[in-house]
Amino acid sequence: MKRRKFLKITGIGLAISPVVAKAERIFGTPDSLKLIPTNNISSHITLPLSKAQIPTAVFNEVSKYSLLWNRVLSDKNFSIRFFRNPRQAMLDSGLTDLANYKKHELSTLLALRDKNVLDALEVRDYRKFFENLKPYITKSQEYVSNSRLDEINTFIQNKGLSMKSELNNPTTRMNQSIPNLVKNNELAFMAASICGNETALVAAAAVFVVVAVVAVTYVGVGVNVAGVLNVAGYISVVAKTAVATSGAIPTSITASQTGWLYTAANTAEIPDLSKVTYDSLLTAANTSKLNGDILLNKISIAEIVKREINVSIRAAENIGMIHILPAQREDLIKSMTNYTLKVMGVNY
Amino acid sequence: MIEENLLFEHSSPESITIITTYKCTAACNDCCFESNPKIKGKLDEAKIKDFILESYNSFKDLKVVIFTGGEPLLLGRSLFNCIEYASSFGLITRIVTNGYWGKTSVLAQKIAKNLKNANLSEINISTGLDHAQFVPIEHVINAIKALSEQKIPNRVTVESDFEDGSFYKNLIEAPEVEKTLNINPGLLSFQINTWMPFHTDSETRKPPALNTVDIPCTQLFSNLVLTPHGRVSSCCGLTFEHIDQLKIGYYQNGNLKDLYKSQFEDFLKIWINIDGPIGIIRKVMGEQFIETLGDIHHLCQACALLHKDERILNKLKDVYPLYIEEILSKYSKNIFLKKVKDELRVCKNEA
Repeated sequence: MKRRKFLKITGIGLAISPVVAKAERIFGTPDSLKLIPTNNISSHITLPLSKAQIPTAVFNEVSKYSLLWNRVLSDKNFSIRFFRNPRQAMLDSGLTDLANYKKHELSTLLALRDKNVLDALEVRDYRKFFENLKPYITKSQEYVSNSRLDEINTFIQNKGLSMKSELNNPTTRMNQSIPNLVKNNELAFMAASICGNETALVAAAAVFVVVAVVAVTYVGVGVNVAGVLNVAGYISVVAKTAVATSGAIPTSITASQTGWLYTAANTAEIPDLSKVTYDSLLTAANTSKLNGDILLNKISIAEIVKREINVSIRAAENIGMIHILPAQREDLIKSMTNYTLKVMGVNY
Repeated sequence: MIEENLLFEHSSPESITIITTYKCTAACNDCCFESNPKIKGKLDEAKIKDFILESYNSFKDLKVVIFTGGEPLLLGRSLFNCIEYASSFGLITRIVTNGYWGKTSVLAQKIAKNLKNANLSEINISTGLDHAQFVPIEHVINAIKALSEQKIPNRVTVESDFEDGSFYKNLIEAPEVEKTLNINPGLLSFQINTWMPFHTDSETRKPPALNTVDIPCTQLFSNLVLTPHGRVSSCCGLTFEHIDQLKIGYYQNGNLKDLYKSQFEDFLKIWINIDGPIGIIRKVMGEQFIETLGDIHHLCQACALLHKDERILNKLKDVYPLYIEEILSKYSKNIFLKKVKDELRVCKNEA
């Protein structure tokens, strides 16, 4: 059934057309109809990016960052040394001011300089991805600190998620049980459900990298791997912070627990996201997207995400990076699926 | 400014789009240029060739030249000459046409042969409910068959339909199309392109899921556009002729690199490339504001809102310095990652 709907978009001037008088144009007269186009070559700047327009502090930060990346991109020798040892390369090159700059971002990029990590990501082989990522994540343990909580808050708010104010104060969370955390914040619950020794706690962030990968893979066209990095970088920080500040997380896991879980993970059948299943679901997602069938689109995407997260978590467990208590597995998968869908902007 | 050099020196368009003419054999209700058979404005062959040559010499990553309109085949022999010229540099060439030239099988075969002789790499035929009022589906099918016979890869783009519409289904299930698909399956494909309204009385169609249009705009900086008026534009999106800020100057021999570089002086363009128009609006105005905008059918529709809604513009001007560091660092990382991927591709090819 055809339907006629008058769009009401406040704030936009409606131009009266000399050519098409039958209706008002929503965005004004296109330049294609103007015989003498507006010759205003300076009008293309909306938000000027010049030193005069930017606060000094911001400008200095951007300049530092630019200096580093310009060097990495232009100087092959520096690039090689940088990826071998970023701190030393910067010190050797007189970039002393940058030696402690944005370590978390450098670590993420270091990992993605690794061909094996990139290849595994591309083919969605999560076992290989975790195996290759593990050394970088362990190495990058030092970069996360609670001082970035404001940044994390902003990120979460930007993604439409809410972080309860009590999370800003670790002391108020010390005695909360995991079920309470589930109610309060599923992110904290997810972090709390992925446990192990110190290394494994840090490695928990890797699972969130996968969540990010899964999220941006299915967001739609136009999101590239760089998008994954950005989300991954932030989410890994979120994960680590949640781990570091949560009183509900076991500080260590006993040898017997580890052994039992490890054996269980190895012997348990890994649920396969077979190619046929994946192709069918993806076809359903794409078709529904094209047809504007929002509900089917959401259902298809949610199903892929759920299965993919399940497979990836198993892969991380199997190589001993993380451990998950069996009783919490179902809730964890559910929470991670919901969280991923939120990150994707899919309200399911 | 240091970051300006960083952004510019390591960026390059991968494609150029030449809008050869605004004139078209069709006059669709919601055409983005309001193209029709009487509209003025077209490029001459010399200007098009100058633009191709200068682009080739200026941009290291340039791979594709797209000829569109209006209806580019209205340029006649000049179009074939320009395609051949672009191909001579080893560039991929593509035209976007409505298929009007498939009026008869004989005419369709003649045009397809000319395109083949000009070394055209690929073609897009645009059709759908609106187009079909001016270019009957039978003509489009003649064009599809003729292109397949010449083994020219063809992607047919169908504008999205009404909820009860069946244009797409009727097209792909037409016996002649099925037959063509069976003979040369790899050469013919179909896609649905989202329709968007340009008039207050437009008969709206079912909008896509918001997450499909809430995406970054990857066209900015990776494409550069020459309009029939000789202007250079940052993109050839559906609403670019409605947005002054996307036109970056007039093309004159020798100024293309400077025009491309000038885009990096506008933070909003970099921001759109990273967060997309809806992402930006959400960041500065909040989620609830998005809901007040009504149906958003297309990324370019959101881009027009971003550039024209005074409420958004005023807020943007106030708060944008807060986002500069985040967005520029993301853009830098994109450049870096592209470099890594290019290197890996070279390694794989060599292996």
